Amino acid sequence: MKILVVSLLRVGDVLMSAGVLRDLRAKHPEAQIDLLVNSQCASVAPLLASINNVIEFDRHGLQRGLGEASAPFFESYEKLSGLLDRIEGENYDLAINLTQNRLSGWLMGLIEARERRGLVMDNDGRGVFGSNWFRYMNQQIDLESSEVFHYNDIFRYALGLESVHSQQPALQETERGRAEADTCLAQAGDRKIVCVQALSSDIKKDWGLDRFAKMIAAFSARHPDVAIAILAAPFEKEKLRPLVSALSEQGVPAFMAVTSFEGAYSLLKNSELLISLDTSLKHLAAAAGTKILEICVGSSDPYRTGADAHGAVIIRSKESCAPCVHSSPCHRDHHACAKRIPSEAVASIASEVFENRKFQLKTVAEAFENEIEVLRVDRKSLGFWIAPNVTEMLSEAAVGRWLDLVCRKIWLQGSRTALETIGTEMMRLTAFFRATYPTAADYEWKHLLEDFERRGMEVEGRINGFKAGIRYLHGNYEDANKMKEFVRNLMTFREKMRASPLFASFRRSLDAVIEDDISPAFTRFRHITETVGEIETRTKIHLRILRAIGNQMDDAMSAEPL
Amino acid sequence: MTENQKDLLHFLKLAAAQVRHRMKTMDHKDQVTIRYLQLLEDLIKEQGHTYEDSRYSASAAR
Repeated sequence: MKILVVSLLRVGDVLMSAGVLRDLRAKHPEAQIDLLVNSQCASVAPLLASINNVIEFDRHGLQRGLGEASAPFFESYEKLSGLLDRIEGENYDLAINLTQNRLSGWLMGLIEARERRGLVMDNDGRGVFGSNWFRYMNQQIDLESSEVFHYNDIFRYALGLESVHSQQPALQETERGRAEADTCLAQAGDRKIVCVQALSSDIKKDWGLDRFAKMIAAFSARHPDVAIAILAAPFEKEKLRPLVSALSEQGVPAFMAVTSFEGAYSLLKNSELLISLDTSLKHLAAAAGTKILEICVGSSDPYRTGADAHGAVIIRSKESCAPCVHSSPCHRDHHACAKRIPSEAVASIASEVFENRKFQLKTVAEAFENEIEVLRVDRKSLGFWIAPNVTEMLSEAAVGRWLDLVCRKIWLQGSRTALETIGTEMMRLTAFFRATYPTAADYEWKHLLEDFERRGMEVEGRINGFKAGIRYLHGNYEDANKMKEFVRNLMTFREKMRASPLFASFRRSLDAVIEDDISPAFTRFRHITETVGEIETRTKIHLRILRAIGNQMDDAMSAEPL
Repeated sequence: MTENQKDLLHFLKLAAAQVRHRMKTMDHKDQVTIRYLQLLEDLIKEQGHTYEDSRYSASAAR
């Protein structure tokens, strides 16, 4: 079998999906798995053990050829054609697109493979996804960030890798990397090492070197026996020199570790903790099994691309404009989200993570709760990546969010799988709720679950009404007034959904049909029918899970002595 | 975008429109040509853009 994986993003995205590639390899041990990446990502190829060949997509070269007057007219076309001929020659059985941009979609449209998954553009420029999960990935761009699945989970589910539990490391060490790391380790002597990545690829995601200096000094005062390695790519060296000098003047045992990605990976394997901004280094640390503290500033979105490592801790600013969009610069006159994260808070949290003090993390987070939010990555409890707030209390919003994520997963997996896994999901959720909200009393759970169930039954009733409406509309969808009336009822229903955290995500599906006044009448009618059908199925899943958890908790209550 | 790129983009759009015009009799070769032209168009448009700028959204496209 021959598989081509297309990942035309940045280095961080390629490294983030290394675990997915490892699982793909475990599922297809005999397959030839090739990876198509932008040329600037080829430097990480030696680390990717699961990949047979890395094929480079020279995006900048192609763009240069299309822009420069001196370049022959057909240069880029011929380059592209040559690349596609090479890919064509491989006769891939499966092509997978992990990218969600149009360019990758067109490219996938040109790749002949027996099966294609992920975005493929057809001749009219419409996306075809080949999987519920890839379609969901495309739709969730507009969703509130805490309501979404991590990209790695989307890839795993879309490729049927959820039951693959490979014990192999996602990345492999290289001799070059080990040699670079040895030079750094010699500087640390016998001390334990904490690595710091203080610069990111985007100025908006930077926290500020002054704040890093204060934080490292405060951390070092608590842990004088720890050596601080300031990680630097060769081009970052000059920018970071003042930080290292300032720390050395204060007597902090800090040194600069200038390495390639291979060197950084080997160094991280020998380190206790990485304190990093939203950079590719956090994905290296996740693969290396090093503890991680991530500082999310600017456009960093931890819920989609956070460190994929159980136990990783993420600090987010509570500034209202964060996270902002990637493409535009910060609109504030000062970098407010970065300013709001106190150095002392980061140093205290880093200290707790370094010492593995899980329960004290909550105390520290509570002390700074006006400025920051502290999330802890949990990869085990629900079977997918979640990052609960460590200070989170039992609330309708919190419980509704977890329930909705699990129900959405069951729905996206398809109805047959739903029936098979509902018991497992219920057991997982019950255990997770008990562990996350240990002080919640049984009567609080009972009240909350009964309230959710009552609302679910209300939704079920409304859906039955809509189904009758659809039967009537079936012969009258060309009648603009009747369609308008039906849509008005959907709008009222959407407003009701908005108030309930458990059903809040339904409104996204409703938005699409309510706001669609461009499609022809029949297409709109078809979309409405599909959406009502989707809400009906999802409500049934919600109710089944709620009743199952309610029964499970009742059993536990009756078993416990008063 | 440079003047050259603007001209080329215009040319590619015209070429794509010509192929589309033959839509009724479009064979596999024409379909491949359309995708090539669109890919080249996007390469020009995405010059200097980040990945997020050019992210495809089916809901926005509709």
